[in-house]
Amino acid sequence: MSRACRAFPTVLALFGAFSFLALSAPAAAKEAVKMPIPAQAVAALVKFSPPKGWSPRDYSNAAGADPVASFENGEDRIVARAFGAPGSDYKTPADFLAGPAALTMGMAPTVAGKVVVAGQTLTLYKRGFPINLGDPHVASPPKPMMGVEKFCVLPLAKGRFVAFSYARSSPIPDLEKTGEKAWESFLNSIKPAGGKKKKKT
Amino acid sequence: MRRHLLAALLVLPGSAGAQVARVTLETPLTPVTGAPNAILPATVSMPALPSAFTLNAPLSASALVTPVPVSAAAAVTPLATKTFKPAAFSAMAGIKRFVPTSAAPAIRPDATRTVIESLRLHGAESSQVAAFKGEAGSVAAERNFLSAAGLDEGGGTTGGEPLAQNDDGARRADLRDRLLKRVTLADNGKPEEREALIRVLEHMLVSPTAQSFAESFIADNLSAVIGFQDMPGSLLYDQDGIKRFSGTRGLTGWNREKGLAEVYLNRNYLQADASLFNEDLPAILAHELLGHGRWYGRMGPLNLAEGYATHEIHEQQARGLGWIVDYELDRKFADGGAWQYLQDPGNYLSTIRMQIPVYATMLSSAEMGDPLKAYQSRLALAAESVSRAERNLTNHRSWYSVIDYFIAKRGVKAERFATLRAEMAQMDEVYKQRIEVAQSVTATLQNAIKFLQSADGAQYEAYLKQVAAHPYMDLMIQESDQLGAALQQIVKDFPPIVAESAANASPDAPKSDPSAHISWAEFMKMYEQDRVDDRKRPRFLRHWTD
Repeated sequence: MSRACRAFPTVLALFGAFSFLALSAPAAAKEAVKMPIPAQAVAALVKFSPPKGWSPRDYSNAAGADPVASFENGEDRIVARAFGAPGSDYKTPADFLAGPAALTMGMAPTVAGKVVVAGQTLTLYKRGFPINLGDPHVASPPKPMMGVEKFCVLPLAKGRFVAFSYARSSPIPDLEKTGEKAWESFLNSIKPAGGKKKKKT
Repeated sequence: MRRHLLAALLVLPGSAGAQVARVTLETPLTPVTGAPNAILPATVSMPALPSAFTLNAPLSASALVTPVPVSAAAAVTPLATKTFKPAAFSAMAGIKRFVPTSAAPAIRPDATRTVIESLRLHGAESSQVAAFKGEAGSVAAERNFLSAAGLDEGGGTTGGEPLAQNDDGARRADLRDRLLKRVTLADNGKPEEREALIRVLEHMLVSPTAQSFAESFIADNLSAVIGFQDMPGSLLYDQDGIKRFSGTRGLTGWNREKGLAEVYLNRNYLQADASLFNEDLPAILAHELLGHGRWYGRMGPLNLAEGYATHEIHEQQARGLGWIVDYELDRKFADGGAWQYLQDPGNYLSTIRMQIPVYATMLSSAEMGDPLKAYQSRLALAAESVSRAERNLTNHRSWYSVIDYFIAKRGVKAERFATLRAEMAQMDEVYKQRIEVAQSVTATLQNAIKFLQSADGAQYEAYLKQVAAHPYMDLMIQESDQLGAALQQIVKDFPPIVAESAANASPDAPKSDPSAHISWAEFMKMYEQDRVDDRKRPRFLRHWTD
């Protein structure tokens, strides 16, 4: 797993890649020596408008095979995670949906509806995840507090796919639905980065 | 109280801990979540220990991960300073400078496999796991598939029964005896503690991965002492009829004078519910002894112990091992952190880094090359964490006035909000704790930066650079990566047995009394409808402002 999270100012510079604008060449050239920058790797698959004012971050899993671009605002987090490349933790959407990243501490996610993303009608899932666990050396509470995540999986060409998610790290919803609104706008902005759309199977 | 404890932890290690010649890993900084119903006196009599472990059989017959072997390696140049100021680094609390040593760890010839040999062996064992799965795990595999296929119906999987295991009691007994030649039991002269230590050791060794790592421990001629210890601040309490305890479960240090790892387990395990001893402790022992103790044993003699404790992967490696052992034993995680890791491994460390002060000062290999820059960068994030937690608390509290409004103006009975108010009160505490923790992270980083800018700090930076370049660090990272990948795979291949706590914690879990208590979803609808209705009222009668 790649653990490297680049210095914050650099990340801020890099996330220009998501705003449909040309990436700042000097910053990119300096970082992208061997491994593709995770944010760029995601942007190579899908284009979207990042939530305005949210804090961006990028990193990767599976030794760089699974790039991640995330945006945070308070308790809310919107994430785009790309899978399906050689070495990926999840080879197919079904693999992902059955895997630990889609489970509620072992339980399968529930269906929360449908959503149209990049012209495709996708199933929207909902799952819970433990929050506020604190120090790992201390026993987890028997009934941990749970946050809620909604997510969908967008299949792309050549076996690639991207899981988009909106997570709220609190059992208590946002009164003004700030995160929900940002999530809806985010989903509406998603487009495949070139290439033809894959038909829904 | 918590603040005072926190302050004491940040201040005391520099003076009190200066007498202690070991590196400690634990930090009891985390607030206890979930209010205990009753704090039991520390003199609760010890229940009879189970005569035999009753846990489910492990998942597979072979280890998921082969421990990374090490070859003889050079020691790192020791630091010249003798009065290190560890208060700047709570992770390194109570450390004296290391005694210079040039002794490389003695390694048996058969333990000097190369990395590629290790990987080959790992690959071979993976195929054994696959074969086992095909023969004995078809039900679980089918359930796994059906679970994936049935997602559109929202069906939940509750996992399958634990898979059968080729149980080789004699081999494990032999391994136990060989391990006990390297591990001293600190029983404090109490036969019951000695018996308990042996039992937990035996139970840990039911896990094939624990067996593999124990063999590695023995092959490297490492030594350790394990025992139960009273952990400061740890309290027994009763929750839902189960006797639990708060505080640190276990910790490991490196005793440089004796050249061995010291592993201490919370003595409250002996007084708490037997299920904690049976289901929790074997994995904790694996984490501490075979995770930390093993790498301390390898690195300590090379003057790498402090660097080990500063490296951000050292905890992840031990945790990954503990999680796998835990899962192999009963297909459940006692530690919710495993799920936190599995949902997004790359986000795990950065998440806990801002939640626990000691993690704020841990560094990656790259960051060890310029720790000052890393800490300064994190300081900005920590400051943002403080303001964010304060904003979150303010936003959170805005709900109180909305609830009050519905009670006072819309005639909803106050009792119907009891569940929501309870959750809100709990979350209120969480936010307040987060503010405290974020402030502590900030203070910890400020102290660390101050230290690094001192003369001792410059020497320490030079030390960290040597540590980061040492081949053992890469081996530890490699092993941690293997453990992380194996953890993902085992959960995919063998669906977990869902704990009742998880079922209760599901976002769609039914409320205990849905007719009486308003849920968040209902409340959101009430709120939104009221706002719509409000707009229809004359402006001077409106409650909400748009």
